[in-house]
Amino acid sequence: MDAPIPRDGEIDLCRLKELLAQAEGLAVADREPFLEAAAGDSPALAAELRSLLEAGDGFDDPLERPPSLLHGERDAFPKRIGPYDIDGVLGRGGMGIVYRAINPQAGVPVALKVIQPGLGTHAFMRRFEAEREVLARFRHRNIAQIFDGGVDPSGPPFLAMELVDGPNLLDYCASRRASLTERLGLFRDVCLGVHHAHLRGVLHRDLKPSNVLVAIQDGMPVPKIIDFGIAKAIREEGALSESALTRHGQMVGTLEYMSPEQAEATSQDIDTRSDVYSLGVMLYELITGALPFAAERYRSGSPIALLRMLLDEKPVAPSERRGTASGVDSMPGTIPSDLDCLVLKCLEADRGLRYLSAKELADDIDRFLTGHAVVAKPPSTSYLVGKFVRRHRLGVGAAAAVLLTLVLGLVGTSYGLYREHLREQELKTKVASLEQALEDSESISLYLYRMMRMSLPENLGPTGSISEAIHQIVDMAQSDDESADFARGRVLIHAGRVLVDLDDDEEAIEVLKEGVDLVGMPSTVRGRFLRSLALYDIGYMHYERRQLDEAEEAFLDSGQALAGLEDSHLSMKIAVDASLASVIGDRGQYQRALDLMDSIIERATAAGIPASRLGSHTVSQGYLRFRLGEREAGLDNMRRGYGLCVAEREPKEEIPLACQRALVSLLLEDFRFDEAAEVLADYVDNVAAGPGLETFKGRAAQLLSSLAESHLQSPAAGPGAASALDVQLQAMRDDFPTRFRDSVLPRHFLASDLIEGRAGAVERALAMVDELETADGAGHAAAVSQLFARASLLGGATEEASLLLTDALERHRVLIASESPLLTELEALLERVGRAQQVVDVAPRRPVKSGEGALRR
Amino acid sequence: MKRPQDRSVPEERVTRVTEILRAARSGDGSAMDQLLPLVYDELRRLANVRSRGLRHSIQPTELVHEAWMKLVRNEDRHWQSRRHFVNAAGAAMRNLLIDRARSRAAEKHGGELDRAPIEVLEGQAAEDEQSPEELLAINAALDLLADVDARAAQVVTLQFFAGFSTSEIADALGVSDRTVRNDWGFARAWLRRTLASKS
Repeated sequence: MDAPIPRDGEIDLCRLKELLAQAEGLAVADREPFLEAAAGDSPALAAELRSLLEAGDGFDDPLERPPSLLHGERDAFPKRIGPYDIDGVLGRGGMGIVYRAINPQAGVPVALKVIQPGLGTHAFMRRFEAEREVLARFRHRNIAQIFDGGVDPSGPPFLAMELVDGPNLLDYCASRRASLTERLGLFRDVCLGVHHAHLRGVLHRDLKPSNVLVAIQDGMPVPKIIDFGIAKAIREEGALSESALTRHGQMVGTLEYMSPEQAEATSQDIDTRSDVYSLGVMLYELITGALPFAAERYRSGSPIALLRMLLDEKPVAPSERRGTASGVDSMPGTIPSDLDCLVLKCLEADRGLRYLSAKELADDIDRFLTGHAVVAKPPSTSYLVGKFVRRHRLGVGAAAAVLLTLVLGLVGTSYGLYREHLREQELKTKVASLEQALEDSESISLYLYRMMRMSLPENLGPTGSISEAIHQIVDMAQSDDESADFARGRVLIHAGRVLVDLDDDEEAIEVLKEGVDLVGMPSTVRGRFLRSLALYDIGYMHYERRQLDEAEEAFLDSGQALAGLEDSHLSMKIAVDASLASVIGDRGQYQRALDLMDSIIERATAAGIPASRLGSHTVSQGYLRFRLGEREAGLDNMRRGYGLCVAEREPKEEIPLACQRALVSLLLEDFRFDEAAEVLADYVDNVAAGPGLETFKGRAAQLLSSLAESHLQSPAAGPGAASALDVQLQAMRDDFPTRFRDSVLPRHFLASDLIEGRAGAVERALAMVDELETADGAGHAAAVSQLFARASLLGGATEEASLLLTDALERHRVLIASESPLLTELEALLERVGRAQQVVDVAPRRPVKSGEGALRR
Repeated sequence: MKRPQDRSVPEERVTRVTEILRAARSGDGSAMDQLLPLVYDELRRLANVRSRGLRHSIQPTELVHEAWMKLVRNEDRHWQSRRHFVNAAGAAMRNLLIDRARSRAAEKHGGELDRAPIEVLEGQAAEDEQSPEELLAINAALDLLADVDARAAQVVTLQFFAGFSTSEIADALGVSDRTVRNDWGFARAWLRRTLASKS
């Protein structure tokens, strides 16, 4: 991509740009000497630079103001539609224009929604009809009423609705400086309107202040919800449930008001609680004047980052945010803590924790307004413990993470067995397969030939990598319309399996699926086995991505392909079924999974496979028993299963390690700390003796931290937890620096927070940062500070967060260019924390520590 | 394989985009040309939906990010797809803005009568909004710049019209941040000189 080497007389653009950038940074007077020195050898270059620099003086920067899309498209509008005279345009939507209109006979002004000319396709008409039908069923003073609908014989179909002549809810409250009680009263009415729609099986899906207008009726303000344009019937049955009706390119929901489940673009699982979330955002904004998260953060990151924010981060409590928001609105008075709880309950990322319905929310507001205790109570101690687990759920969570590791581990076990089976099979059939390849169809030979040619230098792509070669093979097989499907399918499956090994999972899944489709259900044993292998790989990759439906289906199909061949491929069949059992178990269907596992062991034993080869399955059996409540028997199974495993294999191998991990997890869950610690110590030794794979070390550390966290949750929290943490720290920092920094330290910080109190935790954190700076340099220390700050924020400790952020910022500044987005982000965060802190009582500061990059305390 | 069906953008369109991105990844040069109209349509629709009832201007970046979410979703997280999308989105957004500037310029000079009272509806037009004529002049100058230095012109398209950040652009063009900044500085000086000589 670099500029080509200049020919004689041409200017080297690359150099020109470099010098231009430097010259622009200089004062005008210093430029000429700089140009003389820098471009003296090329008069043309110097002249061009001068010209570019001079042309700039006195003229505006043309690129200073990027264009925005202020204006919608402007169309002429008709004078009359049906019986209505058109006054003007009120707005535009995905499916049409909304006019202000009046029926001269009735004399009542209406909002007239008209389908956009040119969009009157069949699908659109149906949607339009559906919307009309939905709206016609609403009769509620807080929902804009539909009056009339029809088709203008000479024009488009239209819908006449109650014209709400008023500002939106936010503007209304701001302009009147409405009191908290007034705001809550209006908001409560909005909830009742939403509930009315919910009762009729309709979600709004795009609730936001601009969709709630305030009309004045009989001297009283009445909020009216408009725009059920993207509503979709939630009922399973009925004429309006057809999903296609809301499919056409509509924007469903507005980012800032969207629940996490809506923001997750692939999710279609949305219910009344999603509207409750949107109501919560509105309420938050209504009483604080600000959104739960900084407005720019909704737009600046990737979709994934947005989702992580919605899921991981807790909004600042409204009472803290209050007054710190840049004053769009100034509501008199303060926000009581009960109301904080009420708002935050709507905004829970886990919808199970939100109000079930808009009515529940309205009722709680009523309770608040009448001075009763709200349902959303201030957190109790047990609630806080629950929260501790919850807020760690992505990286730290004891329960969830352990379960995930565990089950992945079990499938990993089956996967290991299956790989082993492959090796055996491959040895046995190596000679046979070579012969097979020779006598196989012409097209396979052709692929072999092509693959060999691909290694010629002129045929290698830009990077010359294997992955590229494989992609070429895939493309070749995909676009090949001469060879037989079966041959192409086989090529794709083999290529797909190499892609699995190359970790290109997404591509691998696609390629394997295409291969499976092409080979169909072959009649030969070899062909069936190949199909089964491909489906197994597909299932495993889906499983790793937690796509359980797809995984289950693939494992089932994989087993199906082997049906009738079990004599020759029994161990493969067992591996497939064991994986299937893991998936089923992971979905919580423990009994079904256990039945399957029992039958696997039975079949294997009947076929003469020694018990020692079934150790890992015995462990799985134990796990499922444990889950079904047979804790003691389950743990016994697991202990015995592990014993069988190590009779057959070295303890440092993958399968015994996975079994041990599973055992530790369940021991912890059963609060058997002593045994867990013992097995864990053994596990750590085994990992150390093994090939030293990073994932194993990571999992060892994860278990150690689970041990510590379980200690924390037990009544005897304290010394045991602290010492487990210290062991973990030691284990991680030596073997696994990156993960140590990214996940262990913040976790450690939070845990010591609970054990020693916040002041102790911060002291520990700072000591560690200083130590790291000496050992690993400032960049590392800065990153750690930042992580600690994030951890502190999660824990709600704004003062500490602010100290740590300042520290991170100072350390980063030394290292990073001033316009780095990281710095900007940190500054913004700091400002936000700082603002939140001003209203909080500031605790006494600790003494100032001197030195470069040290904290301002 | 089961896939969720009810989504805001028709399934065919998403599938189509996914296919094109895949083709682009495997080196099909014409894929970009096919991607452009789809992205353009989506941006236009989003712009129309958004312009309803808004009292502040819509930033192109928002629409581009939203289009990415809608058209590509999570099905294609391949970094190369992101590259191709960024390039297509930049070109599409530039087209969209220039189309609008053209029709606004035409309106100003005696467009059709009987228009919606847009100014009333949209409230204050931002004072520091670029005039459509200015924007069209920049666009024309940018075409000239493309003959001198195509990459610098592309940097301007992506940053000025579509609002991508320096690092996003660097990523899309496969160059360093520093190169993007230098290209931008050069393009800015070059455009300023060209526009100054015409006025």
